[in-house]
Amino acid sequence: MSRGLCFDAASMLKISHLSHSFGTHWALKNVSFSLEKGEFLFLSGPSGAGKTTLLRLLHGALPVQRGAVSVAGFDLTRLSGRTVPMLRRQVSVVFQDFKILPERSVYANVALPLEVRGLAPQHIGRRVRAVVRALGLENRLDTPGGELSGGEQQRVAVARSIVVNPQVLLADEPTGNLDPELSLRLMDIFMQFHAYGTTVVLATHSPELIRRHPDARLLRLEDGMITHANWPGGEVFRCADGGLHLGDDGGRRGGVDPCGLDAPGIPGGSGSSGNSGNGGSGSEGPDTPGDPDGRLSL
Amino acid sequence: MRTLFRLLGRGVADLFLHPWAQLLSMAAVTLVVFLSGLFLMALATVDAELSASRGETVYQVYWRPGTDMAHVRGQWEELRHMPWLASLETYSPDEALDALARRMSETGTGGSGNEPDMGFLSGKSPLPPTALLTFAPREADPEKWSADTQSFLKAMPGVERVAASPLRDELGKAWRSASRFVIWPTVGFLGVVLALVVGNTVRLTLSTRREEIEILQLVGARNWYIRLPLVVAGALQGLLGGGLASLLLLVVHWRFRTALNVPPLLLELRLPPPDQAALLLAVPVLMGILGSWIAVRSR
Repeated sequence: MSRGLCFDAASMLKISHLSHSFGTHWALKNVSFSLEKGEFLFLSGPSGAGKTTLLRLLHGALPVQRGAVSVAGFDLTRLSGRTVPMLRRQVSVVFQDFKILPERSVYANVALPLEVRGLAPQHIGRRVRAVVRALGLENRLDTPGGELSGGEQQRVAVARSIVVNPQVLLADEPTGNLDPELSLRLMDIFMQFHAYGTTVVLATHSPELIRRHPDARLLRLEDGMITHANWPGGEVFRCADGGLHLGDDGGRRGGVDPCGLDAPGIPGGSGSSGNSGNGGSGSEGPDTPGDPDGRLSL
Repeated sequence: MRTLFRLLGRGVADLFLHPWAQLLSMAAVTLVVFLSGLFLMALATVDAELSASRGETVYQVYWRPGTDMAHVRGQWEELRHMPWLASLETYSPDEALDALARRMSETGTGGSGNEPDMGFLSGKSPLPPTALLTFAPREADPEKWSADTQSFLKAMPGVERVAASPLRDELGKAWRSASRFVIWPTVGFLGVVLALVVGNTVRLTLSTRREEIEILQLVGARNWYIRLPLVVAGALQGLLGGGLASLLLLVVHWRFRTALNVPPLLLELRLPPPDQAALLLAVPVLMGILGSWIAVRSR
């Protein structure tokens, strides 16, 4: 089966038949979807579902083992040591464990990605202050990161990721340590970025957050597979492995089986596409009515 | 350029970021270099002692009788500045006569154990001015050095002949080559041990900064941007450790130089020669740089 996908320029993020294993455990199994510039995607699912692995793959922290991934114009299957920093200047990440420097001040932490880009100090100062103010940290500018509360550290991590106006923003449980009010404020900031054209992928456990943003796309991962999708205007295929495959227009129409797996050993095997589908409501099962050709519009 | 200077400055400032880790690391580097220096000092002392007793080359220079002594004394001053000269004994004609008389008395050839009276020859000594030069050379090519030195001595104005003891000359050459055979491999081995310990110490020190390196990589810093401050800090750590150890060695040498100069040892502590001493600074600096470099993985 051909894996050579032609990523169109409009796609900010395109994943095709992505599988990833840690030893014998498959953390991701044949995941496919694509996002356009400025789209917002919630990734949900229980712990160990593969959300963090997917996010790590998307900013080059893990090598692509199987499948194809393109992010912000970078083909991640051909990523070299030299191009990783260039990718990461377009793709910002907010980590579950914040990853801030405990000895350095809030200002220094937030300014870090701007310094790396070689911006002038006055320009850095202006942008850092604006972002820090938006996140309610203006009174903590000189405080070392290690002396901040969990919620404050999380906001520093968010500030650091958005201060560079990234093309793609990946966030792994960014509201996990925040109270409801701050969570909403933070989500507003993410939504603003999204409105300005940043593609946002946000992994969360919070059904409340997802419920408040019904227009956003949603993928639920379980055991490394997409098991539920809210994909307005897109196409979803249910495959024999139980997973859903989305948004790959080159799939059926181009004669390529969207469920196809040519990697022996991946659970699900060389599955053929089933014609059962799943709607945005999340109801699943063989009795779900589907298109005769196996395609569902959500 | 501004970024470059900022990164260099950050490398220096970062030394104070984790003061205890840096201090312990520097102490470890200093102690290892100091121990290596002590070993080199012991090696230099033993080598100098053995070379002095076995590796010397002696030349006796004879001037023509009647040569102007003022001229000869000027040449003796010149000889005192020759490289590898261990000692110089000079004899004017009268001094040579006195020395001869003493020698005859010691060996009994002057009759009945008394010093023979040679006073009648005072001021009219028929003996030529002479100089006894003892060298302890450390040349890579002893044959060439020997030939060059003899040619130089023979070419001095007024010199009639230069006598060398072939047996002693050969013995000196043999000892010197044996000494080189032992010393340089030992110094090389010591250099490797020093390099491994210092490099690993610096590398381990950077484990305290692993998270910082990871974060810099995640925000898109290029490898040189991450490595430069670390390499500067590593080099400084090596330099400070090596410098401190060298200073300690100088103190030990100054304080204990003559501590072993008592019978039966009669050893005077020697500092390592400059090329070996340079290793005590160069190896920690290089390994500080290398240890920092390899501590940063490319992804």
